[in-house]
Amino acid sequence: MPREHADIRMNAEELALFLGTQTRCILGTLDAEAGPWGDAAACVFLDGALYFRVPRKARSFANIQRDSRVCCAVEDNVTGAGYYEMKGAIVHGLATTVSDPAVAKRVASALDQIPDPVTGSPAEDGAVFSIGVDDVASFDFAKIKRRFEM
Amino acid sequence: MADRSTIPDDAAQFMEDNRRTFMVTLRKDGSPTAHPMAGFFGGSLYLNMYAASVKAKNLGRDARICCIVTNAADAQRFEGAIYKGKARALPVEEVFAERVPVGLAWARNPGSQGSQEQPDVPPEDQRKIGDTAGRVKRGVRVIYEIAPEEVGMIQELREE
Repeated sequence: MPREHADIRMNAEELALFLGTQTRCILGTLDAEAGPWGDAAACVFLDGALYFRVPRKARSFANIQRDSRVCCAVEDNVTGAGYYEMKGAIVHGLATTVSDPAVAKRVASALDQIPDPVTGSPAEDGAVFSIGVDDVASFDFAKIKRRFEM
Repeated sequence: MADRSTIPDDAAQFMEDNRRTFMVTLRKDGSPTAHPMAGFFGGSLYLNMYAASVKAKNLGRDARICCIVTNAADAQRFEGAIYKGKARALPVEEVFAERVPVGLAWARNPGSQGSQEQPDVPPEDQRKIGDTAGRVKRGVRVIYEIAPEEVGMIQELREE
């Protein structure tokens, strides 16, 4: 029997709209033992890529220097929302630095408006990375049709 | 250095007050992934998921896990706790033991407010949405207990 999540993924347009509303993500990286590590990061979705900023003192930054495989998870679980209102996306990919100066300037300008989630302050000495959106798991629970089946 | 597997009071209180959780695990190729879900803290952190889910499969391959427990997505100021450890799938007998940690009582019966009362499991033909306990008893869902290795508020652990 097909599982419900086969029907609840966002399409590319829905995903772009959703990611465009997000400014904070949970960042997953690999620690020195190749185990999972989690952090929170400021993020912005521009021109089909997700950009996020990590303080250079953070363990996440060191992790990315060692192994650039990351994931960024965003979820729209707001106060009082019902189960069938939740949306989310998990973006997997390789964190890469932004080499194009024009793009870097635009991204920096957008991220400058977003404080670091952990400190609540503008990031000092933050490094900006991008990941593409070609390996994404997403869900929009409003699409659940087979609610009571297992 | 303080023993980071000891759960600090501020992180414990935060996790008792907030259940929104992201679990970072490893995919088959060793890359990280992060799933949003509910975390139930009380004694340890407990996670309740479908046995056939990607989350459970990831933990079955590699029990290492790092959870971020956070406040609501629309909170003015982000707050979060890091709970890194190893996950263990609990056998049904342990889940439905007479006295269980508060977090497990929550996880086996999310409507219980952490009460020790055994959850009501309706017969198969009368089951309905929200029948978490029945699904656990039937093996459709599984509860994981996370043994802590490094726990604290995110601002305390973010840097080495």
